Amino acid sequence: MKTQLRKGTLEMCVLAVLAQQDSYVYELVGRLSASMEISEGTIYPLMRRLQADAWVSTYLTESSSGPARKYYRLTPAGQTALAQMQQEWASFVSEINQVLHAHAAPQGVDHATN
Amino acid sequence: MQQTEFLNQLEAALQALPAAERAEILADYRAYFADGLADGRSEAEIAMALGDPARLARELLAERCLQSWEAHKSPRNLWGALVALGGLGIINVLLALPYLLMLTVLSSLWLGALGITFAGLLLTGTWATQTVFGWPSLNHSWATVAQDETGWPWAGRQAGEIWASGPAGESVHIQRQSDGQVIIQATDGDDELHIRRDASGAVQEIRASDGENVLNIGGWMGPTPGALLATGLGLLLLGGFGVVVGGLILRAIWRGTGRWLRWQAELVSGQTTQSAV
Repeated sequence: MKTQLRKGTLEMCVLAVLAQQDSYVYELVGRLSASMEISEGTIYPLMRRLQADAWVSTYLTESSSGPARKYYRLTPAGQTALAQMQQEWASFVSEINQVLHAHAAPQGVDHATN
Repeated sequence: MQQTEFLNQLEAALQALPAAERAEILADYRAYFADGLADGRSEAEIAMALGDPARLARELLAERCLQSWEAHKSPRNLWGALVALGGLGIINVLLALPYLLMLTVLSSLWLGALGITFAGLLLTGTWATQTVFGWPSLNHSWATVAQDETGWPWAGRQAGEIWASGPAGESVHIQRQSDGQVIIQATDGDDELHIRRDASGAVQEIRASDGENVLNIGGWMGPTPGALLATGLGLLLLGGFGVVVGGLILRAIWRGTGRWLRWQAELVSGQTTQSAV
């Protein structure tokens, strides 16, 4: 379940990292893998999809070592999408927490007396 | 696996893509290797982390096909997306065939409804121009007079009547009566064809006989303006209903397909929040 949760939210995490600052894929993977397990190979198909949805745009920057680097930047549409995802995520988490806490609460509350 | 081998396999698996796009993808992965090497990792390590190139290629291709389908919902793109996703093992292409068949049948029915609508439009339009301009005339009148050169020795025309007769006694009579009825009568010995039309232009009777047998068809409804309008409006209503309902169903299925395919694809590449529930 944890794997699926992580995968399902990867898109949101990528957008969130890009919201802090523009980045290139290797750096992006580094940042993400610092706090979560990700499959490095799947990040490119994901980036291409985000680009097709116009949630991110790219630009090239000269790098100190080797060829020009492709940087990804969040577009206004991407910011909107991220905000919406975060909102959905928060409400999802709070729903689940409510259920978990309700069941973790002490048993024996007698509803019949109400 | 070393970098060269990884990139070669990826390139081979991406043959279906346009060269420019393939080059772009390869450049992305090459840059990834460069960054990884600069980070102190070995080529084999990086290739391992990236995963199976063939699998990556299938994912990239499927993504690409889905994008084509979403940009332009043509049957060809649908087929491409289905095959690409089938290659990923996301859906079974054989299972998709009955679905495609149903889509085809539905589309044909919808086209049929469109045809009926056009027929209704045509009839209603005919009624409208007939009412307003008197065109096209429902009351065709013919006035060709047989010429002597045609081999008909006796042909003539007088008030309300055109007639022609041949040497063996065959004859054609077209006669307009005072009450507006038109009678066309052709005889050749015992054979006779008799057509009677009333003043409104409707055919009232067709009688054919060969001296022994008689075929008589009476009580015909001619193309009266009222009947024309009623038929036209009826067809329009029927066809319009079919077009609207069929169109809605088709559109829903068409769009649903895109969403379903996208959802299936995301399930497998793990990009959907549904899979988290």
